[in-house]
Amino acid sequence: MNPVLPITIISLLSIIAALFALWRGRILKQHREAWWILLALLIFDLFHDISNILEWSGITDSLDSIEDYSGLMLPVLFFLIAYVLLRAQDRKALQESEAMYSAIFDGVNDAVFLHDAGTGCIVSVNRRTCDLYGYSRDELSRLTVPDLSASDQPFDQAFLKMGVQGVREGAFPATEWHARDKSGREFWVEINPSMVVIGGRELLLVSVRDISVRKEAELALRMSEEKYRLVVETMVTGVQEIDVSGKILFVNSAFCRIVGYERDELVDTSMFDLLPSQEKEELSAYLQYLVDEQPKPKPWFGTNLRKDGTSISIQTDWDYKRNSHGDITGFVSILTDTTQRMKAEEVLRDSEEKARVLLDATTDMAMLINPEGNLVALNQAAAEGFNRTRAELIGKCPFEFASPEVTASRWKVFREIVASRKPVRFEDRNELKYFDNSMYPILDETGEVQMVALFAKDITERILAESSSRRREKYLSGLSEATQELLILSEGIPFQKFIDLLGPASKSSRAYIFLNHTGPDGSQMISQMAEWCAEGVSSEIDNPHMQDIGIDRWPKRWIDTLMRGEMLKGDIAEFPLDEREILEPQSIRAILMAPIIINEGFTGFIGLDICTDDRVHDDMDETFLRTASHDLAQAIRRSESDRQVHASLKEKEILLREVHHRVKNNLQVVTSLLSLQARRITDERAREALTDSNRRIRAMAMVHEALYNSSDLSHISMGKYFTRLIEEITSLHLRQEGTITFDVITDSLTLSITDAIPVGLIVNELLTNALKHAFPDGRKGTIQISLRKLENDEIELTVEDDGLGLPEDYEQISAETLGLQIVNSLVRIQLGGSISIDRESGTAFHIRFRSGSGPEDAPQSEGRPQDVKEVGRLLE
Amino acid sequence: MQANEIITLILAMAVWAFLIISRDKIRKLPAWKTFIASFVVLSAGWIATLAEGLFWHEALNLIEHICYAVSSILLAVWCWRIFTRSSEAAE
Repeated sequence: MNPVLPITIISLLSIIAALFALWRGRILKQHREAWWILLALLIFDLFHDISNILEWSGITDSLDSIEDYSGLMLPVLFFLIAYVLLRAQDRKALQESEAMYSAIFDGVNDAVFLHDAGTGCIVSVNRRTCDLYGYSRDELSRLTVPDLSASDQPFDQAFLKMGVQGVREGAFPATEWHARDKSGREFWVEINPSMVVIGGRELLLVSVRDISVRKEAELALRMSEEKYRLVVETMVTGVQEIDVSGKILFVNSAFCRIVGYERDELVDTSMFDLLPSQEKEELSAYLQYLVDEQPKPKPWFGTNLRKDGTSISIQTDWDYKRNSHGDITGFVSILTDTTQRMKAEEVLRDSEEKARVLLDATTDMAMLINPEGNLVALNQAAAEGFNRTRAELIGKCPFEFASPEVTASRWKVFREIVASRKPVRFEDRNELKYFDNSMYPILDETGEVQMVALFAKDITERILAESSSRRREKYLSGLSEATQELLILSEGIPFQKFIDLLGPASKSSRAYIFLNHTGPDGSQMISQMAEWCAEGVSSEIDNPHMQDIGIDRWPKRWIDTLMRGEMLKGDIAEFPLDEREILEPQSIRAILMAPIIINEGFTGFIGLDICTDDRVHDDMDETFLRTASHDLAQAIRRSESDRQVHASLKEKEILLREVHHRVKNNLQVVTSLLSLQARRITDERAREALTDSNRRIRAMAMVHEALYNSSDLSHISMGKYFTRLIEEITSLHLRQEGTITFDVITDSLTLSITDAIPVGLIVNELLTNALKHAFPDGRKGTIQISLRKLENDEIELTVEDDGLGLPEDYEQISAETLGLQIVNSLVRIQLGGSISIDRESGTAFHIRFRSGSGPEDAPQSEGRPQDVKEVGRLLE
Repeated sequence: MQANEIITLILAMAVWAFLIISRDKIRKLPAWKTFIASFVVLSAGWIATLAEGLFWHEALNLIEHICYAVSSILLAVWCWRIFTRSSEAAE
């Protein structure tokens, strides 16, 4: 078999498969031509193979020509397939391109016109054009440019020609056009024409963009710019625009006014020309730095030269000017004339400096604290108070340097101030120091607390002085009260009362008095006399070890110290052991003893114990106790003196009383003798004279008797005396009882012996006379004796009766009668008074005198001897 | 060697010239490699046909027909790829 045969059969089968593929593949529009050519190719190839097969199989030899011609068609058909496919591809590409450009044409946001360059007729438009103008494509294709333009938009052939020429030359840029749509609405568009040639035809491709919004934005921008320009021009601060080289591009009116130049003189000149030479380089470098590094610009403080040559201080605030790419093209600056402000700042700085000097000069602490409680500023005194530097304290909380309790208290006050916005003043204590604090809130313009000013004055000295003063006052008060108790010594020295008043004033735990005394065996002993204990402190008054202790059993150091007149004091922890053994069981921590020295002798001591705290006695305690011991010593000495005086007075009283008694007795002896003598005298007149004398002597004796019986040895009760005198006189006259009534009115008046004796003699005489002469023949009557004190301190003695009355020749009789002479003399000389007689109804003798106003040369009343001498002298 | 074989080869060369000129576009045709390979093999067969008249008759004849078979197979494959894929895309 021909080996080519199977190969050819395979080829044949392949062709059949290809034909099957063609049949199965449908006829697609883009491959239709290729399909048919391919079919032809396959058929020719089929014929070629079939003819080969038939020829080889010996069936026929006449198919050579078919084989040849079919073989000949193969390359041609291959070419045709390739060509057709390529053309189909080109067509497809063209179609796709057309579709793409059509999509682009219709898809752009701008309206696109294609105009005939010659006539201006609309050749084609995109969809956006239809939307923009409201026409359909067909309608637009029949319209011309004027139909789509506003009435004020000129367009004619000349314009078209000129426009076309311009487009050709590239000299027709984007232009604003006033358009009109189908509804007649006029609106602004931007047209951008270009020349295209399509199919050999020159066409104007015009893109039209609706710039209505942009026009409105431009209008708004223009208005905004106008406003901005107005603002810039009316600003009081200068505004300047420069480029990167410093050339001035724009200045506002304020800038011109500040620097004194006209706008024309500034624009297009260099801004560095306005600066002093020493600042030009510096500012130039700064601007260059801004351009290079583009940091956030900082205000520039410098100087500008005005046109008139003067210089002004200025503050320039810079900002960048950039183009659309963000590149710096220049700077915009705001210029502020700070000359006045600099001056004001200088004044303020000066004022601040003065304030700082003042604040630093004061010894009070002054601080500024922010609402968070941290220090913002403080003076030197505050820094020294905290024992730190100002730098260390700034930012710290000043309250944290105190004790926890004080910190909490001050924080509380601070928060209250911040909340209430009201100043507060308060005092507090931190450790050993006292402070008078004043906090003032400083409010900002919104009324919120911006700062709190704290002033703290160290008032420790004042507090301690006040405390010391109060303590001193208490001491003085206690001492005064205790001393007053010592003034009253009627029942001995009130040791307990004294110590009860002293103890509380001393602020000690225990106060006591020890006094020396002699023991039964004659030895010197010392015992606790009185004690006061504070609440909670044990009493030692009943401690047997505190009573009747021999002085020699006390610590020698104590006795020696106290005997020298010195005080024993101190913390017992520093005392010797033997002394501590005595004191510690009594819970004593500190002790103070002051000796009681009387006539340079150690008599005892007053002591103060501290049992409940750790303080020791200070100078004030010592002074207090020393004063108390001195007062007590004085009181003891005075008590002893009083006792001696009292004893002496008692003795003298006894003596005086004895004297009066003896005088009375002596006078009674005299009266007795006179009575005896009178019995022996036969002469009536002589006997009567003796009797009268006896009576007078008895009157004086009665005075002494009254003094002897009186508790007051210097005065006698005249009421009792007159009563006794009346009894004595009436007993001598033997009158029947009841015939004469006696009234004694003395108002409990008492008279001294100086007045009592003459008064007694006077009343004796007048009473005797009245009994003898006023009521003859048993006549009844009344005799009144009154002694009263007048308003002018005179004493009036009245002896009156309702008897017969004095005779007409009384004056002659009184001159001759001893008794009346005695009365007159006693009144005038002894009493220094006056006598008057009232005779209207009976007889009344009124005697007025001042008590104790006897003769100037009269001796002081010291008892009977002087009175008797005086009476005798009067009678001579 | 027959005249039609020479003409066929000349035509093939002309086709080759066209293909070479349009090679950029040819590359954009779907399954172009298969198509070109088919023509290459077919062209090889034509060369073999022409050469067999000069030498190695039987070998070259065998080669010739092998080339025709291979070309047919490639063409069938190309057809399947072009028209079947196109129809599926169309559906």
